[in-house]
Amino acid sequence: MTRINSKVVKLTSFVTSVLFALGVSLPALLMAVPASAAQLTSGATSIEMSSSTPSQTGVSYKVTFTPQTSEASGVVYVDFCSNSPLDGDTCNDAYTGVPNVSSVAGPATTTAVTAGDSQVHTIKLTGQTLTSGTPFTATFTGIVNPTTAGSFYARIYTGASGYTYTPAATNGGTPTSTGYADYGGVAMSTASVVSITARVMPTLTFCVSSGTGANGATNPITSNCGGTVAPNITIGHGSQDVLSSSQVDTYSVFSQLSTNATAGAVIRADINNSGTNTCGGLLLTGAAACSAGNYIPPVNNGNAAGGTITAGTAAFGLSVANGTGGTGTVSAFGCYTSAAYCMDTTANTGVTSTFGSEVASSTGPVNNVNNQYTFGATVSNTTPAGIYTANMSLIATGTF
Amino acid sequence: MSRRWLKLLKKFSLLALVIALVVALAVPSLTAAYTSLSQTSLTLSDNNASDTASYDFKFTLGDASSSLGSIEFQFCSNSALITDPCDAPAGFSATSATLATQAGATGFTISPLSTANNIILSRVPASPASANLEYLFNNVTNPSAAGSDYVRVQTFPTSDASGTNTNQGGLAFAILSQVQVQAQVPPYITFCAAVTISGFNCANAQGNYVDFGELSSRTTAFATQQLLVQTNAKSGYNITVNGQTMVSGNNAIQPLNSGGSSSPGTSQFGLNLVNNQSPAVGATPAGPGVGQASSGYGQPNIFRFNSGEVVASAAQASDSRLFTVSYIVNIPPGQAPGIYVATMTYVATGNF
Repeated sequence: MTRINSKVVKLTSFVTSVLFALGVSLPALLMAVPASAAQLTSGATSIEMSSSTPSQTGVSYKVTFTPQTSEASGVVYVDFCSNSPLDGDTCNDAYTGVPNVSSVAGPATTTAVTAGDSQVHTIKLTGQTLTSGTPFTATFTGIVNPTTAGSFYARIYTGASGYTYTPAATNGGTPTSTGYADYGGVAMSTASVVSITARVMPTLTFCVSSGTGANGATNPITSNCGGTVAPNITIGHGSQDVLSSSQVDTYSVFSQLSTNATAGAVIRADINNSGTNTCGGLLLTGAAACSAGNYIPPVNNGNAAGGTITAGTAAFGLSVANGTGGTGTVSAFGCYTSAAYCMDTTANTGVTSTFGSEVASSTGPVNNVNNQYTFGATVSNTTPAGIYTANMSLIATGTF
Repeated sequence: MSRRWLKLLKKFSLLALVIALVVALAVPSLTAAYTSLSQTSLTLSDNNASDTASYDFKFTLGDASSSLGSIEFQFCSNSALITDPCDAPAGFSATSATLATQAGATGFTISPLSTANNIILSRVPASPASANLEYLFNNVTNPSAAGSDYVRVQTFPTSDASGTNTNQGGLAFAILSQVQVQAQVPPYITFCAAVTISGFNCANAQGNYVDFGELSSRTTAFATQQLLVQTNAKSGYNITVNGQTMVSGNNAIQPLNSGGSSSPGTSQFGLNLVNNQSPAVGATPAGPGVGQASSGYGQPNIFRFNSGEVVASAAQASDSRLFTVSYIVNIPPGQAPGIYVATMTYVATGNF
């Protein structure tokens, strides 16, 4: 007997631990039964609550038991008490410790039984077929949980169709259960809500790399910004990598963006961080500012519409491709999406403004999305000889 | 039997109760007490490591009803979460930051409680005029290392960022290298001299021998040749003429060293690069390029020759420019007979 009890206790503890981890109420596991009366099958009786939150309304209680006595049109009583599940004990029925079943609904015919006081804590179900050894289940809805966290009990009685169970008339009174066929007691518990908080940190990973291969057309960036090459590029052709008026030369860089910003991110290009490159073009080395004869101008003179770069007409521009790879979309924006080139120098919104020109964007989170940025340039016959440079920042801004 | 079951049930009930109480007491409330910011963003004017940049913060208050007295912007390299320790980003400094603009809730100044990685805006507490706020800071020094960094933003009802915040949020931003674009334009100068050059193309240059024919003391002998030049020299080009006057043995025709008009019957050799009427010879410079005849060689009907002098020049890079050189020769009646020859060499020098 002791051994059996130990096993039962251990099982009880284990199940309790599991169910608390899951945040559900404790099912009924074990009950005491009078040795002199018929008993519901031990280990098969439970009341499962859809919520264990104190004061929760609209809760469903699923009552399951296996009767020992068969009844063709049996009646089932479920009486909730806060102090004891035992038949014959007094019953404390304040709503702090028992559920309010005044609005209970369930299988036909379910009613709430009122006693002498205002507390309604007893459910009656009639017309049920109860078969000995066969599990019986009834789900009752519309129940309001006790208002206080803690354990409470249910006394389950079955009987013939004429059986009447009378709940306690007062708080702490003794119910009248004489004449039942089967009886069983169940323990339940309400508990404070377990709040689970998981923190997700805002993230934004953004990198830029020179392309590799001919004209930098190959993207070397691997996942999570691996494999990047310093974005120092030279536009030109031939063994000396020079510009000429006979052709348009190009070179590409690539970016990769990952962010969990819920409203996505914007990528901007800024060419005037130093305050020197106010024209948005390629500046002759040593030039303190853009002036005639010392820069290769932005395509279409920096017009927001962009344009075509034609060999022999000095121009410098940028074209952005839509994102590839990864998950999510980073789309080229505005004049940079066209097949031609752009280097918008519009005041306040262009590449020479404080925060640069928007060149690409996403509308939601993205992961490892790559974009290609192709720089194009050519010179005229009168473009002064020399080395021209421009430093461009690609800046990603996430909106979290 | 029943007593054992009763004892077992009581133990179970007690255990359940204890567990419930333990859960209730041991597990602190994990629900957040703050209200979250939304639409939170930080736009940098420059994301190059260690550069000085402008930082533009925008965010929407979740709780716009509470009094607002201070806003804290804490910059960290490790986490955007307020509950985590904050490691200041290496090299980052907001010590010299200035508040350039503010919107939504205004009247703030940078509190003296601010530190290198913690900007606190302070004002007399008041309800915010709007839930949508924006603050632009200038003169912020970027972190010195590429990578992701974070900002924790909190609002407080107090004016010194003390006490419980009313709103909080976090965001991430990235520092990385600039794209450095370089292009080289090699220097070039295209120059040719010939009797004729058509189409502004040296490939069409023809002839290198000018024949004045038989000289006479009664008329001026004249002839032309052409020079074509093109260069991307930033400061343009100079073309010089090199050679000697026309000679035959020991007999020479006098060069017009000081310049002068054509005078038949006198010993003269000279040239210019313009259109003339007396005699009718020459043409003005032509072509899409720039450049003019130099002083001494650019006045119609005035001819000059000194070896080594600049005959044409431009002050900037020039597309194709075609010059027509006009030569005149006059001889006196007693000029010794012979074949008089002069070899002219023109040199174009680009000023890169």
